[in-house]
Amino acid sequence: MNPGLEIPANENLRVELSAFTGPLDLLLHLIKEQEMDIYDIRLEKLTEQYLARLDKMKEENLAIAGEFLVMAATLLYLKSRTLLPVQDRPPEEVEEEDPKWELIRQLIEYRKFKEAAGQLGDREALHSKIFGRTPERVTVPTGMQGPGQVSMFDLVWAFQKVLRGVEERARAGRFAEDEYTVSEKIEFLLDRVPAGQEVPFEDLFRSMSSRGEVVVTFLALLELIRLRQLTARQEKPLQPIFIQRVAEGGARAPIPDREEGDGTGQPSVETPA
Amino acid sequence: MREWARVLEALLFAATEPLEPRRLALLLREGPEGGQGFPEVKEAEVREELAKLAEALPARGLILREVAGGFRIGTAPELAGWVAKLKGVVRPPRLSPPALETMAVIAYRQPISRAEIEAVRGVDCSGTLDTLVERGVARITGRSDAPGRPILYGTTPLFLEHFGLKDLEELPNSEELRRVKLPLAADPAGPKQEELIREAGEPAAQG
Repeated sequence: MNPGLEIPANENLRVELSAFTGPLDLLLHLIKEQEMDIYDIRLEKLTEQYLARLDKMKEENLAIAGEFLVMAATLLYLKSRTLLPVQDRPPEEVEEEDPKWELIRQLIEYRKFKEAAGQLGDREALHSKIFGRTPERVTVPTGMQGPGQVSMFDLVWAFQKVLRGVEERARAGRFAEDEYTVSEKIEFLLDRVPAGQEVPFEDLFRSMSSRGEVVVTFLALLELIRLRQLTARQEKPLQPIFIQRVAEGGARAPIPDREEGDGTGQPSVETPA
Repeated sequence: MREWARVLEALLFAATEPLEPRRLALLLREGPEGGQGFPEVKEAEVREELAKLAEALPARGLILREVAGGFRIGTAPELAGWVAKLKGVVRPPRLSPPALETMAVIAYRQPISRAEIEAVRGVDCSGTLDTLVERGVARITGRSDAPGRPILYGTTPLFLEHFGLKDLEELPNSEELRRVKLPLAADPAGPKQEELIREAGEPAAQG
């Protein structure tokens, strides 16, 4: 091998920078190519080779990620440092360990994970060839469900939006912090969502201007969903959520009235102060 | 051959997720709706039958895999081409090399913050992290107590299935890689911060 800056349009340099997952990957490649011992890297040669790669990329007008440039600067610094005799080094650095070791440590560290990634890749290659009963499941991200269904995550997301609105309204004017109970709000919601009708999630909170009231109403809504009195529907993720009554026939639990709710220890949370 | 072995095979065939031996034993003991179960079935016996099934299945073009804490029937890997053609399925694209690296760092060092992953890889990882979370193989597990309360990432059960792993212990060289000390996060760091990072990077309960 004839390393150095003089290398013409060498095939080696054809390896695109994008073939490397980052500057550490490129450095490892160069160390291997130069048959260096990772614990005993020759900084001058390594820096030279590294910069040659970057130059080549620039010539080919390939975008170079910032991290590659940062590493170039680090290498130049480390190299320049080796040129200084020990007694000329800034006093604060004399007793410190050679910063080169920081880079070496990082390289060794990275190499282990790169190898682990390779092994994971092999496993993935094998197991992507095995079909189970519903392989489609693999492509469905967690938290997303079929059309129409709403996850807890979606509800909380919608709820946060409502809460933000309330905070803005609250800032606009004063309001008295009343006390609300979940059972009260259960009744309110059952009134608000008559059988056979759909109400947009956000409309349920429209008249409310206190955080406490919104929170308690949300708890009541969750309770009613749990009791299968109400259900939430959404066309697609991130689209508006609609709340509707569960058809009478399908309901398992009786509609709880306030007495029953309190009597059976159903949450009747007081508004947090 | 135990008389319930056929039931076991039917359950595994119909399942759309890995079934734990414990759950299988329970199903066998309980029996079908309104019918007679096998009240004496023990989990160890289920495991025995599972092992027999694992030996017998390849002759039929199927395999039994132990993944994500349970057992699952799948088609034999060498027949993938045939099955893919039948289903007209394009397999979900495999993860890119950068995504695999990020995945590896998460798998061994979870829960871990983005800054810590980037300290290992030496590159920005926001894009690959989004990909992994979208694919359902990584998830946000919480927030670190370190300054700035960064979001922490971990693996999902789908991760185990995707890579055909029984559990996290089955990761190659897991002992060595978990103990690895992380390099410092990107910003200039004193020894104090190093401490914090190490704490935040301690592997928590596996699951």
